[in-house]
Amino acid sequence: MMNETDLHFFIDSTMNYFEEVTNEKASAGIPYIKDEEPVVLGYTGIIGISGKRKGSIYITTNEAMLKEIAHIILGLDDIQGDDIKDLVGEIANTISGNVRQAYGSDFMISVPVVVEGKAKDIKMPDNIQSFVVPLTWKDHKSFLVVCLE
Amino acid sequence: MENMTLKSNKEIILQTVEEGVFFLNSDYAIEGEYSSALEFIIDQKIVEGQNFLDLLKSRVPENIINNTIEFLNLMFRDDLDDETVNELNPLTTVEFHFENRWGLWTSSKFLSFRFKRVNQDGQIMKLIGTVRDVTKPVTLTKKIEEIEETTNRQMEWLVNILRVAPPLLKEFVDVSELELAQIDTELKRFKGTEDSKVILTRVIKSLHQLSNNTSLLNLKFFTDKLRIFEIEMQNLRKKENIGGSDFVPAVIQLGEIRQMLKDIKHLMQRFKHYSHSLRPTRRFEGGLLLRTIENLVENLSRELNKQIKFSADKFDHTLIPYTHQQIFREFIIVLIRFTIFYGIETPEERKSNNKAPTGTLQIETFSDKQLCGFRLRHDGRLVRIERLLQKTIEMVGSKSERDHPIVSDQLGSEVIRLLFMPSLATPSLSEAEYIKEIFGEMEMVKQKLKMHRGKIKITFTSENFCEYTISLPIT
Repeated sequence: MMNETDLHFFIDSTMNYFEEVTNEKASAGIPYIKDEEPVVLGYTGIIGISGKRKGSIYITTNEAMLKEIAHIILGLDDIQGDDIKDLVGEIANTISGNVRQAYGSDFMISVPVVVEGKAKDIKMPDNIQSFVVPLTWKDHKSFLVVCLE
Repeated sequence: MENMTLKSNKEIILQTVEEGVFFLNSDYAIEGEYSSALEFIIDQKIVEGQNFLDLLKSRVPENIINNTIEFLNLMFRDDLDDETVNELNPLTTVEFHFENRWGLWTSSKFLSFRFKRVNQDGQIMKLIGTVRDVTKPVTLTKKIEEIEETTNRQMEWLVNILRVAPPLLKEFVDVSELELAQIDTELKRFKGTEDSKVILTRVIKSLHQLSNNTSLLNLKFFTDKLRIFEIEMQNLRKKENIGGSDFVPAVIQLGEIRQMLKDIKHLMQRFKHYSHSLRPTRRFEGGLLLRTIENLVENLSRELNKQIKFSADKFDHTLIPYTHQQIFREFIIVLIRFTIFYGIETPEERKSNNKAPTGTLQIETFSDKQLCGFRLRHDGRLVRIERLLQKTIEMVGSKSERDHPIVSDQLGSEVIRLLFMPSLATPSLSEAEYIKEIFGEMEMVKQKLKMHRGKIKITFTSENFCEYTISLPIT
């Protein structure tokens, strides 16, 4: 079962991403246990974890936030389509890179999968609790969902 | 002819053998001839010259692949003993992971690989590999280990649970799930630091309600967990700047509590007599209220070394509409806790006051077309009320409220105000904490009463009796 250290680790990794890449801190809201209510925004980057422990994590956010991050990273004023998808994949990938570093080679981390559009919900393993961490970066809302056996 | 027969026999063997059999050359490529079972066991198509290590990629963790490379290197070294090297085989029992199209793990197979050298002219030409699906025995062993672990943990629970009447237990689970849902809702409301203390206060109240329920049923394992959690939340509330991450321990513990509830439900289901009796009618559920109260009186008197004769002859739960039963339950529990803790004295104290060593506590219900409610009466000391009463008696020169309805009305409101003032707690620290809790609950009762347009009335005399009347409109 997931413990405090695990959840802190995922939150800190995500916070670090925002701070390092954008020089602007994000803030984490109170985490909660995911219920049937869907937690999906416009763009979602999902990473599967298997090996010694199994589960998945995803970050879901909206177009406006991704555009603003793109502006900071790439200096582009208006990015569209695949570039936005790539960016959410990039965020997920960075988090997954940190996961790989922290959990070592006993774990298998999948290539990030990006879901565009407000899907009904992201299917997580039924028998494992999922924790939702609301994130705020500038005025943008996003969610980190962590599900780890 | 002989060669043809040999070839044919080899094909038959490779087609029928239940193990995956294959040959690996020194580049770790799988040679063309392998058993039909191989693709089925590893759940993958093999292409000509497929590298064995590629089969492992995305199926097993990186460290196992690295160990496999080292192991296969050693297997091709003829200066090393075959059997000794085989002891290093990292694939003796290995978990193969299977994912869905999103890369999320869906299932696993446990496979057992063995390798032997194929020598020719004293040279290692290739390796013959075999693989078997050992998922069933491995998962069975894991399951047994898990069951052993859970059984040990749940034995204590079971001892606790079996003492509780099944319908009460079911009611407890239902109410607890509601409280947990309430906590989740509170957590989701978080908007910023300013909110966190308010949210924490609500969470603590819900936790408190939960632990009250568990202590009513003597579910020690659960009460302990909740108490620790509650203390942690109280400590967190004392922090100056509270951020979302500070709630991580809380959320993890909530997850554990949810899991405990799930396990309790699972335990309940495992006992047939539970499932048989877990379908109470509303009428029967109403009866549970009285049994809960009886348990509370019994447990609390024992805990506080008090003797109490509890009477509920005039308690008719059918007078309380089903929709009001939960709220009445809360009111009654709070008032009874308050009364036993404060009002009713220990046998020694009672004797020194020329009272019977056993205190009395009576509860009765009433209803008419518009109102329903209950009266709770006790013959314990009237604590602060007593002092106030004395003061008023001195003022008006009377001993009974009946003689001076106006004064007694004012007195009643004053008593109610006093009852709901948390600042009056004085005794030892632990007791003070306890009293603070009770006052917190009383405050909650007051708010809920207001919300439900209900009323509380306190009647008393200097003759050591106090009666609380709580009424709610029926519609």
